[in-house]
Amino acid sequence: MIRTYRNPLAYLIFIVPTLFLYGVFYLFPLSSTITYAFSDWDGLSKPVFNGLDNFHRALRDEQIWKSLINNLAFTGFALLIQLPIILGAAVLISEVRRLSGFYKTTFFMPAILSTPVVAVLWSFVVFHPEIGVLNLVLRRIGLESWSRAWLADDHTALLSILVANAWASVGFYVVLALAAVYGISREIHEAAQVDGASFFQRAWWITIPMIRPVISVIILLKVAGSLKTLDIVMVMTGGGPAGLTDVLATYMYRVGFQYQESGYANTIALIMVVFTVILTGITKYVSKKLEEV
Amino acid sequence: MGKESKRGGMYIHAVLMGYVIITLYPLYWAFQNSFKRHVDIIVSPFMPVKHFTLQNYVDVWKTSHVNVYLINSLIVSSISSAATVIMAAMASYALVRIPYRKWNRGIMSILLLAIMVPGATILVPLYSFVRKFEQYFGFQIYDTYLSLILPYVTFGLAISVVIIKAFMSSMPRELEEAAVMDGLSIYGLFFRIVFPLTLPALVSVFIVNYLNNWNEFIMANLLLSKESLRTLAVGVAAFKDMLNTNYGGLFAATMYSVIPVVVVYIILQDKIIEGLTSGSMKG
Repeated sequence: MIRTYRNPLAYLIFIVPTLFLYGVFYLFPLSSTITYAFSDWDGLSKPVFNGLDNFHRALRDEQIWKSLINNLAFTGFALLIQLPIILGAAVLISEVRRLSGFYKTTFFMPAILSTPVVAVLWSFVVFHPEIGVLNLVLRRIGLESWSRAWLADDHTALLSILVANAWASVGFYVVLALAAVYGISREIHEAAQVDGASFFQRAWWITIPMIRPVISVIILLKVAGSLKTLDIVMVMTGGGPAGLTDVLATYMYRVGFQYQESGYANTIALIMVVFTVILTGITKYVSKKLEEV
Repeated sequence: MGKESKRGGMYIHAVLMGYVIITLYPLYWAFQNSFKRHVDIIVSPFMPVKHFTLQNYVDVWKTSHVNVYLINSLIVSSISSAATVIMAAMASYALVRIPYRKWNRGIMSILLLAIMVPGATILVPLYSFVRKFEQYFGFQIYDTYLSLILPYVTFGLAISVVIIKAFMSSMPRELEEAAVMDGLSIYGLFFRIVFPLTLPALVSVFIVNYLNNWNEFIMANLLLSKESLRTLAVGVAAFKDMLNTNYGGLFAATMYSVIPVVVVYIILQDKIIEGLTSGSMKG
């Protein structure tokens, strides 16, 4: 048996296509990111090594820190607003027998839409100053003064993106959490019901603690995801008004492809990776500590 | 169960229905307004359709090349996803069965790098590499389908290998052992025994990749400049800027992108949900 498997030629034939593509289109660009991050480069001519210059510049570049704070706003919104909704929806669906499949299918639906579609739906249907639902409702209930161009307004642009992003991504995680909730044995719930536990008590004391592993995964995915946020911001505001909604990736994109400063763009990319590693590291550490309790 | 829990059930359904409305309303609103005349959208965007018209769909189809974008998306997504699945299945089989442990472990850890490091990180060098591809390999890929297909396959490989490998590890060895007794080579094992056995997993991996490729925006926007090769996701983003005062046209254009996906989703929902969620749990 082993003799059939121990076949170096077959190993090469099976693995080389994957490794080749992966090396050419992933590892090679990744290694370039690292070398160009330490270079002065406009994307066309030869890159010139300039040591830590780009990093010194980054430390003084306010836009980087503003962008990072916006990334953290994505993290905060995901953990404080999305997560309770995700868990709440999963617990509620698990409680009903009728229509549970319908809820699951419907909630998941935004996950299959492309970001540009989500951007069109929210920029026009909800936030549009003239035909958007939000302003129409405000006008109709006499709060005309509250209506505004949501995505162009300094105070509401980021929040509007956060809401649209949450709409697009919550359903996916509801289904993820729901699978875990269904995994809890019915007997535990029945026993608790016999002991007189209310719906909220059961949710808080039984369901949530028992799906802690999935909650950890969701938190980790949310933290990592919020740091690499790119397309939703790009399509909805492009980082505007005046860079206020920039996240690290949109700023990197602009620096690299509009300002033609490819070297510095790679520095920003590298900083993004560093923050991702640090933040996911902290998240893993904290969730491990919590699980030990 | 008593009366009280029945009433509790009503409350739960009310809350969930509220969320269903939040989920579907933007889609419904855009769908409904895509059948209205421009004046009707301006005057009464809330109201149901009064003067039904397909003019928006006809205009968009004729003037803005939706048909071309649709075909581009189909070509790019189909080829990329099929290539990803075949290559990932081959690699997974080698990683699961061929006992070169050190190599296997090394290859796996390199692949997992792609799941951890965000793809956006390599965007700038990837772009300049694709533009200069000819210098290294003697033929041009910028502004051809390949400039999307090759990166798409690459980015799909890591997670696909993780999923397929998990599935293959749980495959019993007995069938393969029997087949070896019958004189099958390792290639025969793969194509005649393993491939059919893992087909359900391969189908769901294919669907996941298809959806990701179909919806991918950043690379499709960056690595192609020719309008005739543009994919639908990029097209919709372009309509958002181009048709920003022609609301009906914009909604019709968006629906060309939404309707096929939603129809496929309704038919294959279990497969799609299973595929998409299983990937994220393992990765």
